[in-house]
Amino acid sequence: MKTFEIVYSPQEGPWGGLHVQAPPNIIPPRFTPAMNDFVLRYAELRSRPAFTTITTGAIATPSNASVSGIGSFYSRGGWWHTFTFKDGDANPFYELNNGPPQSWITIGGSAATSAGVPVSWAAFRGVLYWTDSLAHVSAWDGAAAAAITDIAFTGAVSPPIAGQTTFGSRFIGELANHLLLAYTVEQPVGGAATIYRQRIRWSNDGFEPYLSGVFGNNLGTAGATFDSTINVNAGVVDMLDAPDVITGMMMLGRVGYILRSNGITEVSPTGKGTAPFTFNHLWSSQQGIGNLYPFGTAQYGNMGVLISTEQIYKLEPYNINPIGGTARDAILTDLNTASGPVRACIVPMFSFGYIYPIYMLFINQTNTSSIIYIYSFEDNNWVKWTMPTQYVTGLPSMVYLGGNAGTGRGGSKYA
Amino acid sequence: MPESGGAFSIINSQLVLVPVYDTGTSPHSYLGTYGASQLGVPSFNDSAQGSSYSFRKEEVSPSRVPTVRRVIITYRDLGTVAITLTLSGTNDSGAVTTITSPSITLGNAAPTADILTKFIDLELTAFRPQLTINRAANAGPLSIVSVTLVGEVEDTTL
Repeated sequence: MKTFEIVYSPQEGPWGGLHVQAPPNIIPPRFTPAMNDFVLRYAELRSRPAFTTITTGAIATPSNASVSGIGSFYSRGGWWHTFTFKDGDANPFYELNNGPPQSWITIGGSAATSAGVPVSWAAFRGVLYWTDSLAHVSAWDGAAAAAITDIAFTGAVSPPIAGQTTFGSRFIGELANHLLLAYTVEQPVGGAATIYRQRIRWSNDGFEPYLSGVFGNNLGTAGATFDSTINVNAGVVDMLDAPDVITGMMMLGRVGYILRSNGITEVSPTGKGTAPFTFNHLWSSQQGIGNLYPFGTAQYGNMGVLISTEQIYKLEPYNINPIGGTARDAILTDLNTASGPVRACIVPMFSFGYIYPIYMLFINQTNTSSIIYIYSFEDNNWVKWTMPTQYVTGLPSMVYLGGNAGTGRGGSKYA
Repeated sequence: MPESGGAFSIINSQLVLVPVYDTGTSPHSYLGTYGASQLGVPSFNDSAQGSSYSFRKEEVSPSRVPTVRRVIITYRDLGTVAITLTLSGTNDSGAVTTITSPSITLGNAAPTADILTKFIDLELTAFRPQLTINRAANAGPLSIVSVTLVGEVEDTTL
């Protein structure tokens, strides 16, 4: 007989994370064939941070309703505002009021939200814009008493009247000072809505809803329009030459990417008034790398993550790399059993004292529980967490919770 | 411009919030967070969910049956935590054999954050032994730096 000592220690680098792509007796020792609710940050096997559900106090959910979106934006008045959207509600938009005590207050005027669909939003020129796969885009500047719905429409009359068409979209973003809407939903006033799964609309350069200092006065004019008959700098394109549909959008600095189910289209600003963008399909084939999960994508600065049929990829300007690694099959298998839209986010930290740049993928299981896969960009490994009795209802986000007492609004002003 | 330690103070007022619906005994919507508070390090003791980690099945000596006799855990002291260790493997008859330790306490009530070592005697004779570490919900914060399996195995005969 001979003695042995087998040491498990990541002496040659970080722990490897989940490994299901080989039999469990031949994977390298720093990997695990099965794990749950551990975090591998800084080369330690640590039980994951406690998940605290906030049921009371300032940041409990507004009216105890399901939340389909949350975030913070910086308004043109110099304030940070934290907001949420209620799922499937006629009056869904809330702002975190400073108080004291802090509380959620309703900001009226928003279009209703769709049940079970995450809200897409973008902050542009100090105004928050949002849409929820219905034929409406709403906006709020952080100061007006109410939000404005239907900021995107054809024609010149605001609010739109018979003969005009309003539209919203599944995805909203900003590129080269234009607002872009992808996968649009369009509805003639008084008519039925139509979904355009290959359509992109964009506003004129410097979409400006203000006139004479009044929010909403400039809508439908040469200063704030999506109608190219009013301003040639606005426009629309249908990507009918691509054999698939739009499933996401990422604006990675100087170039944007429209994600399709089997491909990716690059959107490049041209600087030309009548044709401000060129759309180049990186590939347009019956099968190819694309994005299958519209809300499983996430972006952080000049990089994003998308989920294709066969792999998970990190997308950077002019560069795409697989990151599924040794956990790929486990992730794709669980995605195949997902109930409803998956949700994802990229966060640089959980809080100021815990820096941990990660991609988080939340997979709803039969509307009763969730599986979460975490990818660490620094360590290039995957871990698996679970929520046995909870599922995610909106896209997680890093939000601002500060504020100056007595200001009445959730923001804090930085002079 | 308000600052904190040279950084914009907004940075230390941010928190990742996760909108969830809880289907437990009192179904309800919540905003949840892994950050616990806007400043500082989160807690690593989840009160509702345990943790588990399995190492690879160890081919100590191909086609030979090893005996694991001791597990040595080197860990960071974040406070007291209760864990169990499970060794599993297979025998000549193709059956799975396991042994689970009683509850083991690591750490100090007043955490030192230092690296400590614990020796646990746990014996299993089986092909390809595999160690699994389990921490139950609310059992304390666990942080392992390294693990060592100690035992013996038959010499290979030529």
